Amino acid sequence: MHAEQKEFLEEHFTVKEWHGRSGSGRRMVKGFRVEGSEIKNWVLRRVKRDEQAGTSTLRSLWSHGDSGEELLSVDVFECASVKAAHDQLLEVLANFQSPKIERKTEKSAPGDVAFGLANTMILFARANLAVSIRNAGPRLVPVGVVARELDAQILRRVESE
Amino acid sequence: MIAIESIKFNHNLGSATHDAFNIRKNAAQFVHVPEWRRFISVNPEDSPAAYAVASTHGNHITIEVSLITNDPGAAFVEVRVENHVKARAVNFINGKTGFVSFELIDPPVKQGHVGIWDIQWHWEYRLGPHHRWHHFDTTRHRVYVVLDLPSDPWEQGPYNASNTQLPWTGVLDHACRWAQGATSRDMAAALVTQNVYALGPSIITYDCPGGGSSNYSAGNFDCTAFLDRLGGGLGNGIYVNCSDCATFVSTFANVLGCNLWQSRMGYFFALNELLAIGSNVWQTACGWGSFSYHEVAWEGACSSNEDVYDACLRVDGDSDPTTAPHVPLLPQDLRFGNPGDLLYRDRLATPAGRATCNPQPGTRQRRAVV
Repeated sequence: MHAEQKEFLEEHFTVKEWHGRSGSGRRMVKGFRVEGSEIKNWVLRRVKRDEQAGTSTLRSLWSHGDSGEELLSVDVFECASVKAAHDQLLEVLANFQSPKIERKTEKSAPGDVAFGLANTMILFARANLAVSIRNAGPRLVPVGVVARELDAQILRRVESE
Repeated sequence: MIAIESIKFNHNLGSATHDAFNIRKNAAQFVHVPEWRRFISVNPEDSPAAYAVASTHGNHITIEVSLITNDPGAAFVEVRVENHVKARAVNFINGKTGFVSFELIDPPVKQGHVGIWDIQWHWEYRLGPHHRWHHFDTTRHRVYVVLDLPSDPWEQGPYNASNTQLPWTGVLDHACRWAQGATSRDMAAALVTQNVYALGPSIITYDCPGGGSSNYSAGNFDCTAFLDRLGGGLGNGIYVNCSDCATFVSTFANVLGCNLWQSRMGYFFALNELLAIGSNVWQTACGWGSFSYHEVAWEGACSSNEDVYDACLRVDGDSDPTTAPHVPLLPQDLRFGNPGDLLYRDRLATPAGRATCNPQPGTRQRRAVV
C-alpha cells in the first residue's frame, strides 16, 4: 500500500485502538477451507485459492435462489499472525472508495474487529483470518447474519486448535 | 488430391515484423503454432492470428504453409488464394512440401487501424503458367489488428504455455471490436473507455452497496472473471469500483498497443456531483460526498501534466462543474490538471477538495492478468 494512503487510513480507522489485539490470544487457524456448507441456504458457485507473500486467499462466490440476482462475494485471507491479519484488513480497506466505512463496535459485531457499510458489506478479522463479505448481485441481501454465522464457525476452529 | 496440411501465421516467435505476434487464448489455453491444422481447425476462432500495425509497417507479411498430395505424379504446382495469398510454385517430395513461405496480398494489417476480421481463403492450384486455376481447399481464420505490440502487463516472451501474460484472444475479441477503426493510441484508449462505461448498468455497475470496493482488481486483475461477466456469466458479480474500471481500460487498451497505467489520486477529497457507471442520477458517488481515493487509467508519469481515461464515471463538462445544470463528460484523453485549470481535477473534486485530490504516481502499476 502507498505510504501516504496508509497514513490516512491509520488515522481514519484509528488503527492504534485495535491493531494486533485478539480475543483468541495467540491461537491461530491453519488450512482454512471453503467447501460449500459454510453458509446455510447458499450455494457455493466458485472458489479460488491464491497464495501470495505468506497469505493464503480464498475468493468465493455464493448464490441464493435460482435467479442469480442474489450473490455474495466472500473472501477469506489466512495470514501468518493476528498482526498480519490486521495489516491485511487495512490493505482491503485501502481498496474501498467510500469514506463512510465505519468500525462496528456493537456487541453482535463479528470478529475481534469489524468494519462495515450499512448491512450490505462487512469486513472483519478473527485471530489470524481476515474476512470480507460483499453483495455481488443486483438484489441486495443483509450480510450481518452471514458474517456472524461464518465467524461462529471460525471461532469454533480457533478454539479447537 | 492436393490439400493444405497446416498454416503458420506466427512463424517467427522472436519477431513480429513480417508475421503475427505471440498470443494465447486465455489464462488456461495456449495458441499452438501452426495455428491452422487440417481436420482440427474448422471455424475462424480455431485459427487466430494477431498483427501489429507499427511493427509490420513497410514490410511484406508472410505465412508458412505445408501442403500434401496423394497424387504420385504431382511435383511442381503453383498455389494461391486469389487477392489474398500471392501465387508461388511449390515442390512435393514424397507427397509433402514441408513449410513454404507465402506472401500475403493487402492483409488487414495494411489498413492501418484496429480491427477484427474473420476471413475465408479459397486455395487454388494450377499445373503451370498457362493452365487454369482449380479450387482445392478452404481455410478460415480470425485476424486481429492492433496498433503496436501489446504493452505491460502483456508480454511477448517467454513464448510458452505457462506464460499467462501473452496477449489473450479472449481480450482481443472485445478490445478490437470496441476500438474498431482506431488509428491512434489516444483514439483506441478513448473507444475502450467509452465501451467499458457503456457496460453499465446491465453488465457492471458502481459498487454503492459494497462501499466502492475492488471486485476484479484486488491484487491481480481477475480478467478471467471479467471475460466471464462480458460473456453473460456471473464473473465476480455486477459491482465494480474505480480500480476495476481503470484496470479494464488500461489492460484492454494496452493489448491494442497503448501505454496506460493504473494510478491513484487522493486522499479523502470532496466530490462534485457525477454520474457513476451504471447510474443516471447526478450525485456525489452514492451520496457519500467524497472519495477516500480514486483510480484511473493514466498516461506517462501519471502526474497532473498527463491525460487520464476514466470509465468509472462521467463528470460535469460545462463551465461550472460545481453546480447544476450538468453536461455529462466521460473523461478520455483529458489532462489531470491543477486547481483552476478546469480540467479533470476541477471537474471531479470540489474547490475545497482539489487540494487533497493529488496525483499519486507512486501507486502507478499494471496489474498482472489471471
